Amino acid sequence: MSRQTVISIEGGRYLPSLPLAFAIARFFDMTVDKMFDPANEEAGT
Amino acid sequence: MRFIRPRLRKPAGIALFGTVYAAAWLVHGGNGWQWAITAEIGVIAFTIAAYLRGGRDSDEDALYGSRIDERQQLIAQRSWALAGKVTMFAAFAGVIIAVAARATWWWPFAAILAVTGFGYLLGLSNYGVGEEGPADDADDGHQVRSPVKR
Repeated sequence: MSRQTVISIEGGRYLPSLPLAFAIARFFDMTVDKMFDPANEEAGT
Repeated sequence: MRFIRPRLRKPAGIALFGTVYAAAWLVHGGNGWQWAITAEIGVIAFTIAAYLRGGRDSDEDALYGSRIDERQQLIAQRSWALAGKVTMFAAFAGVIIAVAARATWWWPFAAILAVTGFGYLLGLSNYGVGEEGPADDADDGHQVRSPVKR
């Protein structure tokens, strides 16, 4: 995964595919719904 | 192209197709050899530039280096889709203008329009329509045995 894609995901400009989302969540030892829950982003968490 | 290292794939493609273009000018005859040499010099310069760009760090340079991730692949696909749409509209405009002007050169535009339209239908056939399989609960009228043993 490129640096630009990481920045885009962090900035909310790109939503990763399910396999990539699972890989990212596994890397950070979190669940996918906690990492990519839109409700959390709206609340600023 | 899998047997070529990723960073060399785009430059190799540029070199190959560019050389074929230069060879066409050579086959053309007459003063075509001048155009062939000019084209080949341009192709070599473009090939070297593509190789150098392939090592840099940006979305576009990742495309040159054939090391794109899923987001960059999406960008490339959208760009090709836009190129196809622009080509279709340009060819359609060409056909309309040629027909209105009663010109004899309408058919190249019609050919481009037909090829682009065929490419679109091919894309639908390959990537989307017709890939649906039977529903998960479809049993073709046969009794489905329960996987649970009694």
